[in-house]
Amino acid sequence: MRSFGFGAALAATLAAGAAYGATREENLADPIVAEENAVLADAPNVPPPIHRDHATKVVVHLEVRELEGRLADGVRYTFWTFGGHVPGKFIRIREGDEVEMHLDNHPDNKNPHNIDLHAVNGPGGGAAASLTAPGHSSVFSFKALNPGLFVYHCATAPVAMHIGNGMYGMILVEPKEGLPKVDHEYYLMQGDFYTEGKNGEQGLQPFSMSKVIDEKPEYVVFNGSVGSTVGDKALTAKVGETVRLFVGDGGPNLVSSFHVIGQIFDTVWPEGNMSTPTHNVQTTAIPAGGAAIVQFQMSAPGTFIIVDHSIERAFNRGALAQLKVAGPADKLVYSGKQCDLVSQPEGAGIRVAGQGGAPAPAAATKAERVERGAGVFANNCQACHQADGQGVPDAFPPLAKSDYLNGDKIRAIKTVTGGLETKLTVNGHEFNGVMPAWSLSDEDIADVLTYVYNTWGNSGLEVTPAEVNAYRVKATQ
Amino acid sequence: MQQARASLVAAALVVCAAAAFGAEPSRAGMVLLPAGSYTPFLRLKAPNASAPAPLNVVTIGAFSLDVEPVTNAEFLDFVTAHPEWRRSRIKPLFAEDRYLRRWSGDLALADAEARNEPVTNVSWFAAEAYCRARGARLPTTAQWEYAVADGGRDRDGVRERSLEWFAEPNPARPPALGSGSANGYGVRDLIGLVWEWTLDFDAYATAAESRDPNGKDGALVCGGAAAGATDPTDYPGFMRFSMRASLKANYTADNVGFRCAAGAS
Repeated sequence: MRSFGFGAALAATLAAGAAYGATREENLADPIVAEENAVLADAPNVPPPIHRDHATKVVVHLEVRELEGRLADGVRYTFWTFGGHVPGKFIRIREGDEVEMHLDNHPDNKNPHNIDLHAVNGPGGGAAASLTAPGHSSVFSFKALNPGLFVYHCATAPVAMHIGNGMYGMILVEPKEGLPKVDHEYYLMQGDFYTEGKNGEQGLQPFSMSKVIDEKPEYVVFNGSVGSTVGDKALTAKVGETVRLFVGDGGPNLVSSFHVIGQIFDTVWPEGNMSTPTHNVQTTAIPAGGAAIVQFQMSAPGTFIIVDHSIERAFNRGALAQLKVAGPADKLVYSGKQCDLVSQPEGAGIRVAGQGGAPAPAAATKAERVERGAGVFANNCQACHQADGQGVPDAFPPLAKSDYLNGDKIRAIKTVTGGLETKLTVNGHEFNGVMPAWSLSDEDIADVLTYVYNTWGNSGLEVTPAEVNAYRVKATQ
Repeated sequence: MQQARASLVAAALVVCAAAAFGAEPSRAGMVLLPAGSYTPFLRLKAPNASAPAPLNVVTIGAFSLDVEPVTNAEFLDFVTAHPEWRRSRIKPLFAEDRYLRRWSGDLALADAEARNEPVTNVSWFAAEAYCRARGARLPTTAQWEYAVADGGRDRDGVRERSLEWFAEPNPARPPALGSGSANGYGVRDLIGLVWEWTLDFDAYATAAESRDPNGKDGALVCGGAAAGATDPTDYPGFMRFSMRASLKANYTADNVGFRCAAGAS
């Protein structure tokens, strides 16, 4: 029998399907002993596990801040936050605890706010008691009757605007047994964003009322921005270690098909409930305003891509994070590539990106081109070639110090515009994947190639829109 | 013709105000809004639970409204003439402690620029006292909403500018008057400077739990849930009603000011 890292008694309890945690009546009757201030954490971190053997009074302060921040490279947005970041501070308590909730609305804010915690049994989940004007503070208390992982959010009308601007976070109500010990706990929360400008359009982007009503987001992201959890901000673990993700979906509209590429979830507590874990899950659905706890032991090293498997969101709207795992490879677990013979169908798929909208203003200098190119790269290329240009071994070739790239500028233009589906050798390593053709403008392609040529130790040359136009591979259909 | 009438009314009121508390600076005056009807954001409460909530087209009598929000300079004149409303003397019941906090003293503004900025950090009590001293009063919520509805003119533009304004964090100081253009009634800066007190701000309050159609309904309306709204896509409408619901009469927020109204309601 495979161990999921639980204590034997607990495993037996779970196998028997017994409920985990106490009943509501028991939690209501659980006496409050002493008082403490909540330890809060910003994503992707989680406050430490609770080892108390009794219920206590927990004082929580959440300060609402309205702040301009980064939504994607070159894209700014005014976020409304619980605590200064999206998602809001992670709150961790034990079942039976009495929470004294303080909602502080910073005086610099323009708007009224409140809070609905799904961990509350009471009108509005606390919203009815917490509508707060800028410069004021509301206080209410609740007893945590049900264990589980719960979303909280602002419920001030218009609710979709408050949530759409980032007003959500999570509260974990631990069962009194505590959760099984793991090596890493992380906090990820998906949200959809609705900007006036199309995905990738630069500058400060206002909220689009019409797009949120139509449920057509321009961005779907983890932890508040495109690329929040990639590169040197990726989650980390080692082979053999067990990772637990507390995953929420703030919405306001989309349901997430949560998936980690190349990693099966050993255990999922669906919908954040503590009584019915399931095992050996590939993708778990997380409703808007809902959560799940997923847990898995790392068996292989590499970069594992975390996505909303409603896949356009991952590759075109930003719903992509990374988990980097270090350690020795076990060829029995995963062999790596064993054979070069790969059959590809005719015709590279055309990737249509950044279509429509007003054309971006042309770059006047090489430096501007590099700067704009960084945004184009982040929105189109980074998912495969990675933020550090190193690619992924055996799958996506590196762009950093790339002999293939530096050897031939025209080939690079043809590759981006026409796609590539042949075997190639880059820096001594063979690759045999498919790169789709990108239907980006001449300007965007010139920018992104110039960025790549001037980053990561490459040759430093500039690619102009005229060159792209001259050598672009025209679509054959 | 109508404009001429409006400025006559304005002139009369300015004279009235000057008599009340000293010389008025170059106030843009008031404009007369014609009688008319409009559909408020919130529906009337249905007579019983099973009946559909009726659309409440409301008739508004002609009234005058300040073209611009009241400025710091104007409010300074007021507290000069009415010492009980000075920062050091106001009764705590009438204003919390951030009252006029941007001023540098009882009778001193932060600087010369502040003269032409809307006064903020004023409680409802202080705002209403100011208007009464001018022989006017705060506009009712219905009058304010009637003014911003502007007879349906530029509805989308108003919504768009509102959303942009909500999304900008409060600047260190409110923008000076006159940055916006006049709407069809000749009223300026309803959107984009400050939130504004209304006479009955709390009567129309949405429930604090603003998704509950059966929530607090002090007046004739339901709460602000989509079920109670005549147009659930009017996000700025929700925002205004939520903001009013979050206020109490002694609050003195950094971004709440006011303007006065006069005439029949």
